Amino acid sequence: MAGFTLNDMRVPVDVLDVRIDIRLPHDADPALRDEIERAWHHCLADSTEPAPREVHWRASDAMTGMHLLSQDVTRAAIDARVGEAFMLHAAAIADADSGATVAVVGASGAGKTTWVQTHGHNRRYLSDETVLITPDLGIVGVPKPLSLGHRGLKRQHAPQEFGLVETDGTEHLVGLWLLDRDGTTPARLTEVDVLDALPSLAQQASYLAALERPLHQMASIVTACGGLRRAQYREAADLADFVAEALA
Amino acid sequence: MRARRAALHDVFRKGDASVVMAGTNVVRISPLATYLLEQMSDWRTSDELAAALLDQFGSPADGSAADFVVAMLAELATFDIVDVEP
Repeated sequence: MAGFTLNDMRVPVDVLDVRIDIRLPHDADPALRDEIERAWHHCLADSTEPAPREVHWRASDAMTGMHLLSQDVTRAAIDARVGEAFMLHAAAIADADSGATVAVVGASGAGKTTWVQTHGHNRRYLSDETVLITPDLGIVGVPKPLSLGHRGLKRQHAPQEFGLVETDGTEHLVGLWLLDRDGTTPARLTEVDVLDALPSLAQQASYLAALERPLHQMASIVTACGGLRRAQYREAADLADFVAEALA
Repeated sequence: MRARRAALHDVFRKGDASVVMAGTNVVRISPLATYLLEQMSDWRTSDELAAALLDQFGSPADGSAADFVVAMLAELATFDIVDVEP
């Protein structure tokens, strides 16, 4: 292990426009750093300067560590943006050319990662977990490894395994959907009245109370992107036509 | 009984109805509740609120306006939207 310094065991990432250093123990196997860089490829920051925020590796085995890292980096990024913008528990993908983005909102287990896996191929990947939306419908995410698995530890998969494309900062929200995998066939999208949309979105928002006039901010975003829509479906693939139409 | 509007984080109104944020609660409330809430910038007795409701909407289909107001205040209080005193 000779030759590795503390600085070598740092993986700089950029998520939700927040610079964070993932810190590994100084005696960690360099192969672990390589694995983290591969899994977090879409988030890697080109920086040699230490970041103002750090997340520390806190596990003895790789699977647990990667699982916790996913949570810890996301949490650190959200904490850094508290009170600045509207953050949602949502997955998002964008058209590779135009940057037109659809975000799907849902609690853990609602099918966000499966939706990304199914529809993200050759599209830009913003997140399978958390996005930040600005009043002008700009959107950034946490393009972390995809977390797959039902309960407990989720295995983390690099976005490139699914043909997901990196973002370029030009993504803009054109559709906001509430995932509702209720078995409806054929799948359908129905508009949700803004008075029903706000409580639904509030359940999946982070630090909403820290925003100025949060309901008005939410309502403005919902209205500007054409309204919240409820996506009722059985299989994620059943939404293919809706995704294609929204991103066209 | 008397009641007043609690310190609300935000109120978004569309038409006669609205969505209210009180603490971490975000709740859609009916046109009747929206109207009542607007009457409660200061303490109001349930009798005063019932009279205001009768004035605006007429008699309820079932029961008395006073009972209706008491029930509605109790429900709003569970979401910390109003402060209620016996």
